[in-house]
Amino acid sequence: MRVILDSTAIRLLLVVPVVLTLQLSLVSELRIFGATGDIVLLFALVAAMITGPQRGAFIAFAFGLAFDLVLQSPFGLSALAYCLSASVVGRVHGGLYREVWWFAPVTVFLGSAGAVMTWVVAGTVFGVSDLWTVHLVGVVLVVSGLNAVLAPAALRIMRWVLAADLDHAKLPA
Amino acid sequence: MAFARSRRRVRSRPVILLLILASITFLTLDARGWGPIASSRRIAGDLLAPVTRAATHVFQPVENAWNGVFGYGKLKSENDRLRQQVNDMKGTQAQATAAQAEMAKLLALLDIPWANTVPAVAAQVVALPPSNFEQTVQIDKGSADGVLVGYPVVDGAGLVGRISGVGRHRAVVRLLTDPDFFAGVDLPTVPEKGIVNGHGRGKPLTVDLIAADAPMSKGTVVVTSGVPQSLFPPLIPVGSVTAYRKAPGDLQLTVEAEPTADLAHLSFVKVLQWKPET
Repeated sequence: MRVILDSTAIRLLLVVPVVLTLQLSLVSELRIFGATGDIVLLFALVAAMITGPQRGAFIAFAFGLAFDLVLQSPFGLSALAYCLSASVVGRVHGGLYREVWWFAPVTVFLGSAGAVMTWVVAGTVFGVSDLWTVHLVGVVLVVSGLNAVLAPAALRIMRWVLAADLDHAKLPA
Repeated sequence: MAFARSRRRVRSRPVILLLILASITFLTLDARGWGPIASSRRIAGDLLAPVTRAATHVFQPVENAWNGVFGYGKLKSENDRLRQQVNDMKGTQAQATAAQAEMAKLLALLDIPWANTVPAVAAQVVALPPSNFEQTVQIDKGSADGVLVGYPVVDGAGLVGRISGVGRHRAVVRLLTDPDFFAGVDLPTVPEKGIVNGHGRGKPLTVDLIAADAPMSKGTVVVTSGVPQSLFPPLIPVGSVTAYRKAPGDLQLTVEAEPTADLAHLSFVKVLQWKPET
């Protein structure tokens, strides 16, 4: 049990800074209509699809909190938005009877759109002003679209990260 | 898979409620200015800065290719605009040289501190905002170079913003288009001092506290006021007026301005080591 938890934790500890570095150095520099992608959110949602709403929300919270460390926006806002969206995505994906290839990109698209809107609503509540602009439409479309395209690759990576966790889940009781 | 699915049925509500509570606690502590959050952000920024810088260098060709694909039209029109600008500038170069000499004399007479005497640190912009809702850029100079939180940041055209976070070898500049940015300003034709405020990406700055009957015209340059204890030195160009209107019954004009600095294409900036008079 300890070994399994440790290997997942170690892989997560490796993946979180790598994803953050990619977001800061590459993704944030690639802009479409002035908006940029959010792969931190992508990995948070994909983790929820693999592990379910409970662990997924926890991992998404960790991803969000790590992202909050490098942002100037209120600390905890991304963690809140990501964990709420991940719990919904984990619940929806957990109820899936049979895996269909297009389900992951569609779930990630809708989950990303939901997360961005949750961030904006929570941000407004916590005093971030001027978020409701036309630019928001572009942000939702770009973040959701890019995340949907990258979802299959992110799923593969997160399955490797959470492999020990999944193997443990398959063991007979 | 069936087992894994049954695990997902475990009641997740208490965990999620706990995480929501934790987030709200962090948000509240941050709003109250809890020190450990700022320290954690500084440490995380310092740890990630060298890795991010190296990765940015590695991914530069990808970025260039991307900009080539998605920004071709924009680059072409910008190129045309710049070519036109160069032609215009050639014509006015001699005039500008004379005006510059004149201005230097005037500045000397007025003893304006920021133009020559405020110590400054030159810095390069190394990163754009990491998320969609931030009006910030990161520069390659930090506390080790004498940069402190609150210092004004300018480029050749005018005010860019203020330092909002500092690491050892990097700092975050809150741009003047950020909704949390405020500065006291002067308009040459108006006796009162105003306050300029950002409203986010792509939206004009607004200048408040300008009397309804104040003489105003488009193109009027807005400069920092530099009143005693001001956070900015006086006479830094902030923007130029693009629109103004007065609604019936209003006691003040609604004035909109465009930043003079090209905030979308910042490369090198100067951090003014300005300490407000106490």
